[in-house]
Amino acid sequence: MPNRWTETEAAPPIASPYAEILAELDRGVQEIKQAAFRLKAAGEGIQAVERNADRILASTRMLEINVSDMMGRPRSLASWTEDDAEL
Amino acid sequence: MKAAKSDRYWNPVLETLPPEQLRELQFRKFRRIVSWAYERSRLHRALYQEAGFHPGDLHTLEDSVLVPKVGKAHMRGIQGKDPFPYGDALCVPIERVTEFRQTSGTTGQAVYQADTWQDWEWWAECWSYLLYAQGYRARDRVFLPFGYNIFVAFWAAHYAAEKMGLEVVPGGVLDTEARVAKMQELEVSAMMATPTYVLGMAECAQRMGIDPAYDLMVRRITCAGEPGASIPATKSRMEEAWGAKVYDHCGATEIGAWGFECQEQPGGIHVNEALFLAEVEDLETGRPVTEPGTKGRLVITALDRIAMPCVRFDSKDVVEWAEEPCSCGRSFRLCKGGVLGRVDDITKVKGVLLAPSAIEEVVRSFPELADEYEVVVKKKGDLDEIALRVEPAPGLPPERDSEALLRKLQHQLRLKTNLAYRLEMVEAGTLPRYALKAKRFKDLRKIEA
Repeated sequence: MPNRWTETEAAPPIASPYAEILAELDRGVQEIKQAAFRLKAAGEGIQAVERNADRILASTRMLEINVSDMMGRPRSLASWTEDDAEL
Repeated sequence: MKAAKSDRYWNPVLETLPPEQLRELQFRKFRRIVSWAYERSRLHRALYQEAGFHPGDLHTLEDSVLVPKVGKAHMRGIQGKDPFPYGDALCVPIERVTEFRQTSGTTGQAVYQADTWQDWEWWAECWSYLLYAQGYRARDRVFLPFGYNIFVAFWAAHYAAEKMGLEVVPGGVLDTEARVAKMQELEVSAMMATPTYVLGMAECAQRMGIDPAYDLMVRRITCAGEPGASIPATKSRMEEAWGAKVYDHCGATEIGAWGFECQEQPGGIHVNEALFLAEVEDLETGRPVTEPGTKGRLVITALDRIAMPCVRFDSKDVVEWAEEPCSCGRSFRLCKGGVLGRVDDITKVKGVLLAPSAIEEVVRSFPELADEYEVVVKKKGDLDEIALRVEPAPGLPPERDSEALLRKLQHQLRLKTNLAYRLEMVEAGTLPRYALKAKRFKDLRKIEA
């Protein structure tokens, strides 16, 4: 199937007058996202860490919708996992 | 080169994206959510397989018509089954569901809706786009006079307002008088309610000796739940009663907050095309309507909602694309006149197609008449009869010539709807009052049959 819900292939960025700022914003968004996933893993199941990290990831998803989707970056649909196949 | 930012938009990147790029973004997101629904929802997969559709068949945005539509009946059909109570459309583990809401049930059995926290963040995001477009800013103190119950109503507006930094006053279980008093005490600058309740609150305030336009500080009102804020006569009534700008918003429990009127008040609502794909189908033929001038049925996809995906949902809303883009600079297309009615509400009376909103527009254009009215369609022998009951506006002297007024009303109704009505002026305050969605149009022909 060519189009999977967990996309693995990047698409080209969508042309925008905001291209320069978008690239910079997207880098920041990805840093937050990776930091939240690292935090979650390091928490080893501590609910106070895991649940708050999930909330950060849900908010970060809104940044991805507003910014990163323009960059054509592949991502899971569920914000709390890096790979939807693990759901 | 960095583009100039503007404080007119919540997200200038997406709201001013040129149409060609916006369509490209929509296509990528549409393909992704369709694939998600196919992979994870038994309901969607069964529908797609039955129609011989596979997500790999999507090559352009125009291919969206290949995707089978989903309606309320589908959602009702799976309800109550496992994973309980949502059934086969749930796409995430049930422990990820954080929100339960249900539809108001005005068209039948209520539909249950699950959302994850991510979806709830998305709901607030949808509302942030619309509130920002309507001029809400962090300095606003906003009052929400609604029941905070199982209906989605203004719940997401509350969360969006918080996100935007507004001060939110929840007017939950207070009665109308207490709400008016609290709004006055706190000098709130904005509120959100159904058009029916906005008018009802103004009437209540007047009874309390408070003139909302002068004694309250409300300068911005957002309406939802009914089409009144896009009906010029109703909008004018609300704006005059409150001395405030009134803006429309469109949404639904199963869909999300998909449309909004901006500060330009362009006589229509923008579809939030960054978050939704809106398709319009001809009412008779079902063919796609892409040009202005033809009313059609809105079929809509929420591009980022995951727990229970809304993919090509048959909203049953009737809309029409506007001819001109809005002067606000958004590239999001406009639906002229907002939601013009419901497919189920548009009915034939004496062989003439009638939208109940047309009657509202005429009634509320008469300052001599009160806000409330009631329409009853029934059979008299073999013929349809349509009756309209109206009330005099509060404070008008009783000796006014109601016969002449009703003749004038009959004339305007005939011009607008091509129908003759049996008119009756009833005593002020006798017609039903509604707190949420009103039921002013009653078609008894089906019941009689």
